[in-house]
Amino acid sequence: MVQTIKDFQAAGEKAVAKSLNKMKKEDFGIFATICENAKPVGSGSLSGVPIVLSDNISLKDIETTCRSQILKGYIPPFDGAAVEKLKNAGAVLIGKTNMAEFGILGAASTCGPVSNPLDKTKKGGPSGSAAAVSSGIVPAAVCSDAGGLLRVSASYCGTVSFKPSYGAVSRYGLIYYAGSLEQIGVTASTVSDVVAVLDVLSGHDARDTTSLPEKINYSAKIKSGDKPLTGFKIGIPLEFLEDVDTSVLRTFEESVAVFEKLGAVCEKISLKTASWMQPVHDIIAAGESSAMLSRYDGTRFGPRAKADNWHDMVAQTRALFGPVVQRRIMLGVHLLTTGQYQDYYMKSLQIRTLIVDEFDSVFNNYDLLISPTTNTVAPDLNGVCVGGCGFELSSYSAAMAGTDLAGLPVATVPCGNIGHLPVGLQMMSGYLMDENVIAAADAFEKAIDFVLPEAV
Amino acid sequence: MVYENPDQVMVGLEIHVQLNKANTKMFCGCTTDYTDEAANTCLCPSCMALPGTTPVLNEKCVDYAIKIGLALNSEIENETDFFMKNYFYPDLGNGYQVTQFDKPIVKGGYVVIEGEDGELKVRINRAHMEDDPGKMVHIGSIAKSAGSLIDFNRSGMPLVEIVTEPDMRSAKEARRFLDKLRSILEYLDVFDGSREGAMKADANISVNSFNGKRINGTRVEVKNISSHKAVEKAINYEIMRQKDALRKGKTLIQETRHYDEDRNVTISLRAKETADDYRYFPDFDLVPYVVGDRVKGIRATLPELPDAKRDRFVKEYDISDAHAKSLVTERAFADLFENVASKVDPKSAASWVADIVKGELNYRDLPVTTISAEDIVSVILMVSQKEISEESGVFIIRTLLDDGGKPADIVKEKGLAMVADDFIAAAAKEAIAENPDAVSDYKAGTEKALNFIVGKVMQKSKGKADARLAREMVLKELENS
Repeated sequence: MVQTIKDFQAAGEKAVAKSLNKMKKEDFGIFATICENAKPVGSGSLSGVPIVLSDNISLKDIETTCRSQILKGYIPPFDGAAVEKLKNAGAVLIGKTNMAEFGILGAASTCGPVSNPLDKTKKGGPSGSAAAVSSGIVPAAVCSDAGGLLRVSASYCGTVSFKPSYGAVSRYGLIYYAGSLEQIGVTASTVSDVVAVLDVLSGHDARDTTSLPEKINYSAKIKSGDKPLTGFKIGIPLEFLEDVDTSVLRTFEESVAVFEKLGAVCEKISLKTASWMQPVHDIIAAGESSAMLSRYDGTRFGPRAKADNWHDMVAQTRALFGPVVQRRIMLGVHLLTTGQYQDYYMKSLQIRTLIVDEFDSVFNNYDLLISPTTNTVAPDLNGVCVGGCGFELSSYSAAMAGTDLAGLPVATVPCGNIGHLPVGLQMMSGYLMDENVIAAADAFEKAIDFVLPEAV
Repeated sequence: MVYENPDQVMVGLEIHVQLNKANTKMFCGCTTDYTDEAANTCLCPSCMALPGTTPVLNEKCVDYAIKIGLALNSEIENETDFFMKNYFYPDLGNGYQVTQFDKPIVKGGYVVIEGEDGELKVRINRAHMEDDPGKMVHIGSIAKSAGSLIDFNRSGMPLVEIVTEPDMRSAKEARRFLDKLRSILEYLDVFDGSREGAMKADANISVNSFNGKRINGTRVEVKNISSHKAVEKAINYEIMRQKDALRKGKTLIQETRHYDEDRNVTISLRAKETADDYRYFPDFDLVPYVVGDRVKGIRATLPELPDAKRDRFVKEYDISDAHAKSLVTERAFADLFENVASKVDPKSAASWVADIVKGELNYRDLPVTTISAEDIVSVILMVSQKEISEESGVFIIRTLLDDGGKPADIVKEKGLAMVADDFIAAAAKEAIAENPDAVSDYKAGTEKALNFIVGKVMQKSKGKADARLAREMVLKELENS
């Protein structure tokens, strides 16, 4: 049974103990670490609410490994900014969720894949965050997202997720692998719960220079009435529908009809830069990861290989990265060498500007773009890669790559079920236009009255 | 006279300046003053490059870089940005150095130095900001070390790297450039040159002449030289080595060499052909920095620099250019002089401060702050009013530096008050009577005999007589006798 923040708060002091109990029993591979002794620190809007974090968010005194062998035993001496804010608001941080190594799509976790709480034979996504919510263990989970780590998981598990505009939540303490693409987001069972957690997480942090100077008000534009989206113009980029399964497309079309009923005007549009989004995401993510993952050399923290000299020590220590991560680093190293840089990396930065520009002009005419979050419902657990993409790309889809590259606010809301598995609807708006996404997601959620299927 | 530069030597310098007066490191809040601290105590997660740390630019470093640029007559880039320079090294926590690439904050400029044949304009190519890695301490020698230790106190220290054009033609010119640069930086108050590792230089040296003919020489880089004296020696060694190789028909390679100060030789470190590809790319953690109005504000607070001060001293105080030049090398000296000159005759202030005080301080390796303007003024006044002799004045300065105290007390304690004129007259009479041989020598035309008699008078007064007065008295007595 999925429960909301209010349900957990109503349960009082027992809520945390109950969650911890369930965590110990679950066998879906959702959690990396259980914080048995977690206690509330501050008090506020999330008082007494158990919340979990993806394993790449630094939690003081708790092993934080990004699910990589290379960080085994690493215990951060400080709390990330998101952690501080959650603690101050009274949330009880009871554990870390499983995730693809360093959040890199397609990479394996040291504790295996996450299976789907609705059907154990299916994937629960590249992170355990959504599964933690859909299994009813916690009302909300905080997780970073580059390429779909959070969004794909939410789509497979039937939860709401939101990745805000780049800079909305401080990255201080987030162990990112691709800093310009990655942003902390939230998943919960309802839009209002996502908003409640985001209101706590967001705001300026002087420790992260990419942090926005002003706090975004997430609850501001929640509308009411019969036709709350009157005047809303929604674009449907055809390129974002290209690889989508027909059954998912059918559900998507029903969602379009729902939006129209809510008063919105929906139009099919075309994005010229769509075909560039995934290649550019790949090149930039690879380049950034080659630098960001350099600090894992065994010198200052984490495991250290025994060798006769420093070079061998570093080489052997770095062999602890999983094969996908190693390939990503090597690709990045290659793309940044003289010559390759000009041909690939610099061009990618230039195309990124074109993508940003195109989104800017699209959002001059449209309040929202929508697409199916994932091409299929949760695939078989034994499929080729965690992201469900079949080969190693840093993003799940063009839509996910594009929103990362432009730093756009993007939500996933469950929009129906195919059999016993949910389908996700993705909504995005212009940079800093987070409230459009929240308003649309909230109106849509209320209109369809989605019910998560019974687990099989 | 025009300097021929017989070997067609070209020297360019890259100078790393630690902005150790910026209070905090370049991207975190840790102190820049770790000189007296134990290893690995001035640290935080950020300068240790722990996972999940994010850099925050210390704007004071930007201001200091702008200050340096303005003082070097350079252009300041309005929108400047940072790049990651990737390489692995144990003391480099992040695995990349944050530096600047095609948009350095400072572009162009020049410094005027005293060259081999008069004024030489050394052009500045650029100056950029970057962070310093930690420090490796090798157990044993660098080549055969049993182990290495790392001190991360230095990690994240703000640096400005100043790159010159290869405009210097000798080791001496390179040294003068460094002396001048250091003087300018100290005037700007961005850096304390006395701290270890505050200024380091890489020198690029090529000899471009063989058998009297112009050739395209090979540029060799000597890295990480820590003192100005060592730079001069390393360049001289390198010129000699390159000339010798050319003479013997050996091929010089473009390479990086290390200067071994103890043995005064340069040693090959690595050939440039196999140089690392640093994979520079834009730092996505730091947004481009717009300098904007900061330049105007900083320009307004820029202090008077050594060259301008030197010109003003000559004009305003009518002192010699040699004195002015000596007084302006350190800002504190110039200030001391001006303090003294405001109370006594500027010319004697110049000669006392530049010739005597500076010499005595340097001899003792003491800072300017050891002595006060007030004490120097009282010494000069006592000498000019003939209360004490010049020799006693120097003696008082030395005593002040060695033991402290007040000039008036030292005069009393040591009985330095000048003796009365009639005592000197009597002593002169006595000396003449006691040394008839010297008197007859003098009268026969031996000038030196006069000095002998004056010396005797000074002996009798135990040095407290004014030497000039004693000489006058002796001459008068000799005329009368």
